[in-house]
Amino acid sequence: MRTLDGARVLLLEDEFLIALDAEQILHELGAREIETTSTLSEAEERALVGRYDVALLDVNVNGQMSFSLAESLRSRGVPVVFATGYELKERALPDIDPALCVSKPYTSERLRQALRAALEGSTQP
Amino acid sequence: MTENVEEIASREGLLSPDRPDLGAYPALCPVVGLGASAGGLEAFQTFLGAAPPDAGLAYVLVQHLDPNHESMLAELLARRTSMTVRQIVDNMTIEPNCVYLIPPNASLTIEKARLRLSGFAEPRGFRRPIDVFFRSLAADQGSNAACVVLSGTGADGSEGLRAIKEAGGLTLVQEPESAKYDGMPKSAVATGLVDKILPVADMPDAIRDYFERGQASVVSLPDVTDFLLAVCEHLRHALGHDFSQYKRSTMLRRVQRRMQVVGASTGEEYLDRLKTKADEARLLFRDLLINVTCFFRDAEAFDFLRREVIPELLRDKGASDTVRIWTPGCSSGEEAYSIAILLAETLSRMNGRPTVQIFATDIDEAMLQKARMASYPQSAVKDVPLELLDRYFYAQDDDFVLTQTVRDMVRVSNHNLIKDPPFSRVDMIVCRNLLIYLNANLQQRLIPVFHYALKPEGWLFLGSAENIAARNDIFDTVDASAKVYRRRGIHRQSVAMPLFVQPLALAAADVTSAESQRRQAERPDTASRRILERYAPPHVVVNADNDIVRASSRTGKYLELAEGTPSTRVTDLAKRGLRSAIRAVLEGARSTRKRTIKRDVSVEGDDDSVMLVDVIADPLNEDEVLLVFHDAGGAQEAALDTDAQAEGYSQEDRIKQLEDELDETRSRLRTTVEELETSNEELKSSNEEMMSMNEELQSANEELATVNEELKNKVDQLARANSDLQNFIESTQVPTIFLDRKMRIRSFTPATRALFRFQEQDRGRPFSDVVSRADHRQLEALGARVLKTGEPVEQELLIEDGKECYVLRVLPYRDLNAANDGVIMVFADVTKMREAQANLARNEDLARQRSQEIETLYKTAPVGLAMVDRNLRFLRVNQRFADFAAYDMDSLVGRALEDMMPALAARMTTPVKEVFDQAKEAVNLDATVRMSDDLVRDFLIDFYPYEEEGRVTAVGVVLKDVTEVRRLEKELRRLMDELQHRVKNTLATVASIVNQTVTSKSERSELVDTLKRRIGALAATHTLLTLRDWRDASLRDILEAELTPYDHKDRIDLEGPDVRLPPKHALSLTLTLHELATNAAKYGALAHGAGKLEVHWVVSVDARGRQLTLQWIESGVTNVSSTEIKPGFGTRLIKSAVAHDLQGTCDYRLADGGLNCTLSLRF
Repeated sequence: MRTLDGARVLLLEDEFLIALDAEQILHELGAREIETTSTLSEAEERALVGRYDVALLDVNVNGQMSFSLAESLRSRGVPVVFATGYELKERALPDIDPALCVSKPYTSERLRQALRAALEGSTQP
Repeated sequence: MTENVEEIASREGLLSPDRPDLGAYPALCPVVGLGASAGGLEAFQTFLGAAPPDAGLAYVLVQHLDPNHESMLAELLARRTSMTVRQIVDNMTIEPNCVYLIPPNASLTIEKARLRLSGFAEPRGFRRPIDVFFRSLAADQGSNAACVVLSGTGADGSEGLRAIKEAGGLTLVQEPESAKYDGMPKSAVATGLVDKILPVADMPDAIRDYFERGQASVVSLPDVTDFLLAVCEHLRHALGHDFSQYKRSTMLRRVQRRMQVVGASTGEEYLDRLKTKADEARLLFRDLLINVTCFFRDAEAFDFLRREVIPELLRDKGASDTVRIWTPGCSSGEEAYSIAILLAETLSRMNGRPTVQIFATDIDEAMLQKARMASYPQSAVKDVPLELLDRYFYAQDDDFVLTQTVRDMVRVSNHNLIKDPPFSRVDMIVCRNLLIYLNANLQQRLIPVFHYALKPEGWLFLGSAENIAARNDIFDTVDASAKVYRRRGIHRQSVAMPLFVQPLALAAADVTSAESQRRQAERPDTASRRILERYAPPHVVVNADNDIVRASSRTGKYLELAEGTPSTRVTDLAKRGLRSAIRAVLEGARSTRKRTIKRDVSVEGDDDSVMLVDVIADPLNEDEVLLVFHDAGGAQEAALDTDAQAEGYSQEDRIKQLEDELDETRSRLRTTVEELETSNEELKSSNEEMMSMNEELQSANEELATVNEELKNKVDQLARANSDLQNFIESTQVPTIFLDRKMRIRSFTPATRALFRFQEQDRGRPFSDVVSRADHRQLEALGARVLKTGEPVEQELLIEDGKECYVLRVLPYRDLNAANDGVIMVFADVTKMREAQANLARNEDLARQRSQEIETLYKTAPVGLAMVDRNLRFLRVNQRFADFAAYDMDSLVGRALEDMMPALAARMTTPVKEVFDQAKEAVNLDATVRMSDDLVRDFLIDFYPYEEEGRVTAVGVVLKDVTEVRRLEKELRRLMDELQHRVKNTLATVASIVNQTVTSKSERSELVDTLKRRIGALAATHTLLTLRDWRDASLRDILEAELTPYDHKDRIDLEGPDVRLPPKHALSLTLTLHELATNAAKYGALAHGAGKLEVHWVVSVDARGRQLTLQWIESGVTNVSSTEIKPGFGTRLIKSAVAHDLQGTCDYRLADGGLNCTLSLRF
């Protein structure tokens, strides 16, 4: 049941331990290469130069929101899954499809679903 | 008759002197005199009840009153009218629309329009207050007066009414049938001078109409001459009397008066009435002929007549002579009879009494009828001296009737002085108060007529205002003041007869034909009469009573008037010696119904000679017998009828016998006569006493009737008042007790039973005997005090310890004389009132308190409160609201919201209007208002309608400032989000720790222990952060928390400045330091007894900010080998976490003595 077979993943997560966990799950899901970034600026730089199949972005990175990054990624065809501690449906995260969002702490299954949804969504016109 | 009427009316002297027109001092308004006696109260009440209060008339009420009795009349009458009722005091002026009332025991007159009072001149019983007043009213006010005669007995008022009528006033009389006592009205009606006979209730209007009409005078008519002529013409047509020569002013006044009475306002109207109303001409005729007269009017003139004229008149007159007297215009005959009485008086002292013939003539048949009756009311005979009244009158009903002797002298007949031929050869003419009604022309022509009628030296007696029209050539003035004249000259004046007639064709024709017929019929009769007078023997005709019915001339030889009361009986009149013969022949003739003769009866002549007479009695019919006297010395009847009885007579014997009888009879008669005269005198005197007593009784009776009436009325009123009072006492709910002077119960109201155990029979018992719930002694003390001082007392009275509360008022009971005659106690139950008062006070306090509370609340409420009207003007605001508006409270009131708080106004205008319109509250309206450039406030606004009498008059606005609440809400939301974020991240971290730990540890106990420690370290820093509200945590604290479990024997040295790290830094560092410490404890410096750990840190500041450099230096560790350091999770964390999380660096190296790790990071 691997979803990310051979995929390059851009991971944005400011918490080291969570990033560690995410990397592990992503590997388990078949990711070939994982670029882990801990700050928004770093992720933005990577996104500009690197080529990714999918991105897993923490919404709140050191108090900064990652929506604009997600938007630029999507515009270049990179599906984005958000990971967040916020309640999705409420005020903190408007305009985000709940299917593309995982609530921390997430399980590998939940992440997989979200990633698949993201990937499927991006392939459709 | 061409004179201007105004001239006539104003020219002095033409108005007859004894008839004042308006009076010398006319009152302000017409004066109406009302006279009444018994039954008068009712009549007065009816009259005043019907009298309009604004008719502009003054009413003077004259009533027979008990002189000793206070009259209640004023009081009783005042209730019937809104006019002022005044009891008259002397010299009172007369005002319109007032009622004046005679006081008791006073005689009322009016002089110069002022009411005068005086004592009575006459004794009680002879007083005639109504006549007195009416007479003075007539004299003083003339045509400005009216009189009304109402119920009463007797004849008072009638004479006064005559005077009023004579003076041109109005005369009214109550209908005798409707009067309680009809004496006075009947007597007044009998004068024939009453204008109207009316029910009392109709009188006031009639009087008012009369005087109102009087103001529009007929004198002002431009064609008055034509009008009068038309009236005269009509009278001539209707009655055959011509008034065109009547004095014009009098005529005019009388006609106008008549018009007023009948209510005709224009001449045409009256003429029309004359033509259509059959009676009117007669009534006007009566009015024109008003001649008020009475017996011996002008006493002085009559005295002169009695003293000077009559003796002269009768001198040298014998029994065979006749005295002829003519009284033209005799009216109802008083003067004719007055003359007759004077003559009778003189005749009674004469021996040879001449026959007296008084011809009383007039044209007014109604008056003539009265004259024939010879019956007069008391008023007419007031001037007759008492002895004459006694002698020549007798009373019949209320009237005085003349005796037959006087009546026999007077012949009453209808004769028109102007039209008909005069009487002739009369000895005296009495013509009083007739000429004054005629114009000068006619007067001039009448004087010669009188001259013609009189014998030479005949007397003429005129009225006080008349004269002989300067005809001194034919009359001598005997006495100018008494108006007695005497004919002059022997030759008769030639007088054209009739004096003044333009005979109406019809009437004249009738008269002439009747006259000629009469003359033809009388012609043979004249011859027989001549024979009877001159050639027939003296004779009389007697009736069944032997009264002489007719007598021939020359009977004086046989008959004479006997002394004493005159009689017409032939047996009384016959001369001495003849009486028995006459009686005998009359008896014979009656019994046999045949002629009976008695011959040679000797009769004493006047000169003591004796003559012989034959007496023949010849029955004429059933009753009447012809008695013929024949002197025996004359021619013997040649042939006596065979059937005549003749009787011889032996004279001497008879005479002797008769003389004896006569003597005896005479002496008996004298004695009897003397006795009779004595007893007669006695009777007469006691009769006089009785009469006067009767008068007094009658008058007292009238007064009593009046008093009785008044009392009855008063009693009715008292009964009514008493019943009112009784009802009031029974129905009043106020306990009231009446006590007398000795504190005994006089009366009480039923309501007193709430306080006292009163029984009906307690009346009269002492007050203290009655069982009472109140304190007796207190009550009685109060009663005594009030009785003494007469001042009312008021006091509160508590019953049963104040369970009931009364206000007791003790008032003096005043009797009719206003003297204290006890006390009245009035108890007003005020228990409920007091309770209510207390409640009220309590409620007031409560309300005031509440109101204050509300006021305080209002002032201090942390919300803005305001009241606005429909135009959004502030009616009231509290301090808080004013604070919002940034104005004073006072400066806001009355201003428009829009001017003061435009931003708020925009939000409020619509809701306020809606609340006004719908009267429904609107709450929790949100409003975010920019108060100034940098101040935005959030408000919640409530609107409440304020209603007064179902109408919204204002809107209450509640303004809550929720700016801070809103801010806190936002903050809270942010915090919640943050918390969630953090918790989730922490949980994710923990999950990762668990995950990593599980991967690296195989042994379960070690796994659990490791997990607990790692999570515990995290928890410790959480604790530190929480203590600092998640702002920061002290580095030293973190280190100490981590290292304390291992710190023994001072192997750990911590050195560095106080550094406060933000949460992310603190947590990330905590994980790193925990792994370092765990490793040290497991393998490093803390695992060996000789090992030492130094942790040093410094903070540097450069352009990019602050940088922390922390050195972890372990020493004293033996056997340090890199192999022992497994590249596990812990090491990885140490090396990477700071770099990843904090973009710091980590220098991790193993030295000889142990691990040296330098962490560097910015914060």
